[in-house]
Amino acid sequence: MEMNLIKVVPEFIMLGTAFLLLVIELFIARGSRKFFGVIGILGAIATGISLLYQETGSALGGLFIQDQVAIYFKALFVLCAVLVLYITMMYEDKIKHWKGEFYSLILFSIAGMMLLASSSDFISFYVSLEFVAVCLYVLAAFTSENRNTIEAGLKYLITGALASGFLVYGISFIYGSTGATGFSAVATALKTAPGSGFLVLGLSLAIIGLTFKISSIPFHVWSPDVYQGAPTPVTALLAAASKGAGFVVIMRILFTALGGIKAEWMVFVAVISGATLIFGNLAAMPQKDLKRLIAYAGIGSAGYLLMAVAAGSTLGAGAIMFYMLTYIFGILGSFLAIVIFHNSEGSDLIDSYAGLSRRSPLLAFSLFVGLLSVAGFPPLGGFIAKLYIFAAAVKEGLWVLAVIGVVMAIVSMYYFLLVVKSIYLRPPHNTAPIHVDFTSRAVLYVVNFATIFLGMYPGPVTDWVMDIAKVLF
Amino acid sequence: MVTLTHFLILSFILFSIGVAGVLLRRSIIIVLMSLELIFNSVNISLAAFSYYLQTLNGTVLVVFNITVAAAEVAIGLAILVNVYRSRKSINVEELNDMRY
Repeated sequence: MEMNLIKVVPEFIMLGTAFLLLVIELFIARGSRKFFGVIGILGAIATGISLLYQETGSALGGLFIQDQVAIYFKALFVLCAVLVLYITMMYEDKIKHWKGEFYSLILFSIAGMMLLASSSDFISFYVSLEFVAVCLYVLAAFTSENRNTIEAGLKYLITGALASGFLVYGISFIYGSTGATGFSAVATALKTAPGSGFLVLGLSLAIIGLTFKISSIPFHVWSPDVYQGAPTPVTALLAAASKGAGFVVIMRILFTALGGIKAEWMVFVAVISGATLIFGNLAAMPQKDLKRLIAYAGIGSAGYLLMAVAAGSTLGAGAIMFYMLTYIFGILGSFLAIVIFHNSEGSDLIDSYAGLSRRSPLLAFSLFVGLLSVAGFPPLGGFIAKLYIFAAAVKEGLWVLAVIGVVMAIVSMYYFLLVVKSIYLRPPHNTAPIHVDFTSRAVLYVVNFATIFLGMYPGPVTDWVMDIAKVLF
Repeated sequence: MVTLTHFLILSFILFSIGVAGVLLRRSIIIVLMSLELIFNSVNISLAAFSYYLQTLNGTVLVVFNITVAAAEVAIGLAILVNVYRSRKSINVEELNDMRY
C-alpha cells in the first residue's frame, strides 16, 4: 500500500493556502481582507503550476487516481478559484463578519473538489463529496444578517443532506452486490458476475443522490432559491465549480465503475436529462431576477450535460469536458459583471439592467457574451460545446433527446435575449455611468476573449479533450 | 436466525421513515433528526453487507458516514439558530420569502 504523496501536492498547496489564511486572520485587526484574495489567487496559481508537473498514477493506497481527466478538471477548478476569489474581492464590502474565513472556505471547497476529481473509490469519493458540501453549506448561509441568505442556506443543507442519504444508500447496495468499493474493482467484479437487482437499485439511488450536486431533476428545487439568496461569489462557485465536480464523479462512476452495465443506466439518465431540459428551460422564461434566471438556465445546462452522459461514449465525455470549460468562462464572466453592477445599483432584477449598454458598454458586452455563450449562440464557445453534445447523443441513437435539446436551446435563446434586450434596447432608468476599475476591466476582457476564442477556434482544445477522455473507459 | 435480509428490511424501514420525516414534518429540528435517521439506517445496511461479505470496506464507510452526519447536523443546528433569530420561528413553512 504505497502512499505516493507527491501526487497529492496540488491539493496540499490549496489546503495549505486555506490554512495559512485562517492563521493570518488570527493575528490581524478587523478591516478589509482584500489581500486575502490576492494570497488565495497566488496559492491557486501555485497549485496550477504544480499540476503541470503531475504525472499519472495512483496514490493513497488506491483511493486516489491522478489521470489526465483528473488533471484537466483540477485545472478547471483552479481557474474557478482564481475567478471566484476575484469576484469575492469585489463583493467583500457586503460581508460584515468573518471575511477571512469566507476566502478560506472557498479554498477549502476547491481543494475538496480537486480530491473529488481524483477519487477512485466510493469511500474517498463520498468523503470528498461531503467535504465540498459542508464547506458550501456554510458559505451559502454566510451573510447571516440577510433573511434570504439564511433561508437559502437551510434549504441547501436539508436537500443536500437528503441527497447524500440517497447517495450513500445507493453506494451501500453497489458495495453489497459487487463486494468492492474501488471503481476499477467494481468494474472487474461486474465482468465476472452480471448485475443483480440490488445493483440496479443501488445505481439508481446513487444517480438520484448525485443529481443534487449538478442541480438536475429530481434534486433541483434548491437551486433557484440558493442562487438568488446566497452571496453572489458563492452562487458563482456553485454554478461553475460545483457542477463540474458533480459531472467528473458521475463520469467516473458511470463510465469507469459501471461501464459494464451501460444498458441499465442509459435510459434512466436519458429520462432525467429530458425532464431536466424541459423543466429548467421552461421555468426560466418568466423569471425577473437575473441570478434566479441563471439558476434555471443552470438546471437546463445540467440537462445538456446529462445528455452527453447518457451517450456514454468518448465523444460524450469529451463534450462534457469542453462544455464545462466554456460554461466556466461564460458564467463567471457574467457573475463578475453582476457583482460590479450590484455594487453600484444594489439590485439583481433584470428590469434594473435597462439601458446598461449606455452606462457601461464593457459590463453590457460581458453579460452579452457570457449569457449568450451559455445559451449556445454561435459563434461563441457554448455553441460548439452544445454541438458536440448533440453529435454524441445522435451517434448513440438518442434522437428524441437531441430533438428536445435543440428545441430547448431555442427556448433558452428566448429568455437570454430578453435580458440582452433589456441591456441594449431599453432606455436606462438612470444615466450615470457605472465605474469599472482597471483590474476588473482586464479580467472581463480576458474572460470575454476566452469565450469568443473557444467559439472561433475550438480545434486544439476539443482534439485534446477528446484524446484525454479515453482514459475514462 | 437473523439473516442479511432482516437487516436490509430494517434499514429500508428506517430509511423510509427518515425520508418521510424530512418531507412531511414542519419543525426544522425534526427534519434534522430525520436526516440523522437516514444516515444511520444506511449505516445498518453497510455494516450488514460488510459482515455478510467479510470485507472491511463497508465498516470503514460506516465510520466516515457517522462523521459526515455529525458535521452536517452541526452546521444544520448553527443555521437553525440564525433562522430562529431572523424569524422567531423554526417552522419550515415560514421559509418562503423567495419566489418569483
